[in-house]
Amino acid sequence: MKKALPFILVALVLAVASMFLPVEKPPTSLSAETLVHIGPLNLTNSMLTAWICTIIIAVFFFMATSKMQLKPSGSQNFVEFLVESIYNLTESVSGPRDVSKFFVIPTTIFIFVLVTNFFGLLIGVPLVSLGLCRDEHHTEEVEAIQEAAPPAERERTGGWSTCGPDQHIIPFFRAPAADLNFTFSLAIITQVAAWTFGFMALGFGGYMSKFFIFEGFKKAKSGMDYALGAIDFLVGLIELLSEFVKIIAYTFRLFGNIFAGEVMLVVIMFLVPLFIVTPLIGFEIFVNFIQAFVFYILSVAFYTIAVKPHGGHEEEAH
Amino acid sequence: MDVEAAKLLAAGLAVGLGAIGPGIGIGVVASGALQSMARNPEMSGQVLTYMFVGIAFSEALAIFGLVFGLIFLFVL
Repeated sequence: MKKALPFILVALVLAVASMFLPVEKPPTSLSAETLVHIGPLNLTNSMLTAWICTIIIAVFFFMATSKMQLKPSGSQNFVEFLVESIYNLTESVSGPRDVSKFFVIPTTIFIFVLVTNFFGLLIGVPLVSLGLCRDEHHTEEVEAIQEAAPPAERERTGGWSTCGPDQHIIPFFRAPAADLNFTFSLAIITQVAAWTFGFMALGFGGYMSKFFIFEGFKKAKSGMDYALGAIDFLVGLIELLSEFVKIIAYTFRLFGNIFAGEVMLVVIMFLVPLFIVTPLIGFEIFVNFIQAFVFYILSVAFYTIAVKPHGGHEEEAH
Repeated sequence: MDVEAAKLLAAGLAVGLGAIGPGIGIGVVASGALQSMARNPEMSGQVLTYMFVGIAFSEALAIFGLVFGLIFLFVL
């Protein structure tokens, strides 16, 4: 209880501080928004959050492992517990042969996604109205609708905002997983690693024979055999297609869950402040953890499938 | 029906219809996992892991619907 006190204090301070920064409508947008332009680079709010989280993770792990002791204590103990339990879980999925290969990339992504999700949830969502003001870019349609509306409706109906009436706010912090670019790059890294592991384990021909299956044709004697071989070939092609669908699935699973959670929290925060949001934040903590975990466990499972030879069941001997 | 109303309807339908199948699927997954855990409690840790994987696969479909709903609302 005593150790949780600072966190509760910080959460309370953030909650109270967010009340002094009202905005007119919930600042939700599908894509991450640019904060500043640094040369050719658009620094978006999700990039900023990702960088901050990278620094947090690096500093924490460096501090925890800089003074290694034989009897671990404190943060070293925590890091050892974390890495060891993830290692054991990886081993239970992939088997002892490949665990040291498969462990690295998914665990890195797991820790990174977990920390960024929690940062976005516990700091980004309460401070969603802390940000830069930017002029609204009206589309033609919206402009037409606003002109058609009587002027009384366009005036603000009370409260005050830190931004002008024709401006909208760009929050400083946004969970990086609520940005499609972030999840898409993670998905590409994971899937390319899966292909690499497959090629390394089975060789070029061996891995390709999982997708281009000609065995049915080679052994075929009658017309029926040719038909079955064609079905096998089509199944292989579908398998090949699903290798690319996996990228999309990884991307949208993480993005959809995190973004939907963020939008839900922000919208409900604008309806009823503080009270209904609190249990939902607990639920979102659970969801964020599960999504990071699912990303990790799916990538390990797909790696395990990728290194299995086509039709090979001979190593199933527990 | 004007375009705005159609967008709102499309978003609602995308999420609502898209959640039916995954709802059933998650129910099936959880019921199977619970049965196997009740029969073989020593395996519950591993069953739980794979249950979450199965739920994630099933849930991904609902999330696709949700993403399309959000695209209808914010992008189109």
